[in-house]
Amino acid sequence: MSLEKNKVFEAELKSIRPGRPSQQVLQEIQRGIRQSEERNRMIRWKSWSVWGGSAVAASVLLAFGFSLLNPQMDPMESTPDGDPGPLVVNGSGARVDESDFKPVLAQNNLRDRVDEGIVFLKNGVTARKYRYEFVDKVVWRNPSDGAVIEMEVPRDEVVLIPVQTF
Amino acid sequence: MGKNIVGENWREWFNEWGDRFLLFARQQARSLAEAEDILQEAFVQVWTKRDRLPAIEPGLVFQQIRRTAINRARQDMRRRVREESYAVEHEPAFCHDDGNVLSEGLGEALSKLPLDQREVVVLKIWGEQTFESIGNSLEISPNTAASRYRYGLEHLRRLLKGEQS
Repeated sequence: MSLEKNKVFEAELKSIRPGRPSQQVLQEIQRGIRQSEERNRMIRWKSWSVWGGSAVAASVLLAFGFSLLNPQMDPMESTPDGDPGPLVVNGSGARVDESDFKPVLAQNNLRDRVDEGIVFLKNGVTARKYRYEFVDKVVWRNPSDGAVIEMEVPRDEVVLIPVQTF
Repeated sequence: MGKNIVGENWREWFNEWGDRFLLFARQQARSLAEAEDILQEAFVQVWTKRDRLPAIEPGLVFQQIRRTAINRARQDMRRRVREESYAVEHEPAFCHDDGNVLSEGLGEALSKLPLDQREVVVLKIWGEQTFESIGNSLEISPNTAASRYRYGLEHLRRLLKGEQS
């Protein structure tokens, strides 16, 4: 069949319309779609019920667990991770934040020097060993009410001084 | 050709494409009743998946019609009852009200084509599908679809010519 004849024949065929589906098909489709949507709604509702119920139950259990572990927490008591809670100034009831304190002093105080004598090192060097005993002091002050926090940390420093041997 | 179908728009779309869907379903079925059942089932299945599809293409419905026909359970009581009621009527596959002489013998000639040719001819001529889309629907390559179409068209022309002469 030539291309031209083919096209004419195709056009003739296209001009013939297929028979339409009956009204019953439309009704059945409508019914099928409605049923399917109802089924989907039920599935969504059931899914929500299961997950929502589980979430509520888990929340209740968590809250109960926390209340058992932490019966009543004192504001000055340390938190479970060891971090002290915010300071409360007696009488005023005002909460004091750490950031209100400004460092006003930082010192390395040498308290003592101890001569621990001659030591022989692994690399063959001979040295005299001195132990310096420090106390480091840091002071913070809250300018608004004059409150002061002092911290003293003892610290040792060992110094080796090579010595000439004969 | 893709269309976003929302709410009740399916009716409008079905009115436009329903006859061609039914014609394709008839190629897969033994009777009009069975074809209508297949069409209804396939259309609802595509419709219920519309949330997961960017647009509903006629090609999807053609594909679903074929799958439904293949998977359909043969012992469907409802279908058998309807088949019995339709058996005496013998509904024509094409409209005869346009005075086209070809239309009278077309349904019968089409039914004499081998199924693989018939499917391609229906999808190409009345389904307005590309060979690529036909290939997707029938799970064959576009070249195979084109080849089947050429054979099918020639076969159909000879059948119709023979009937007319």
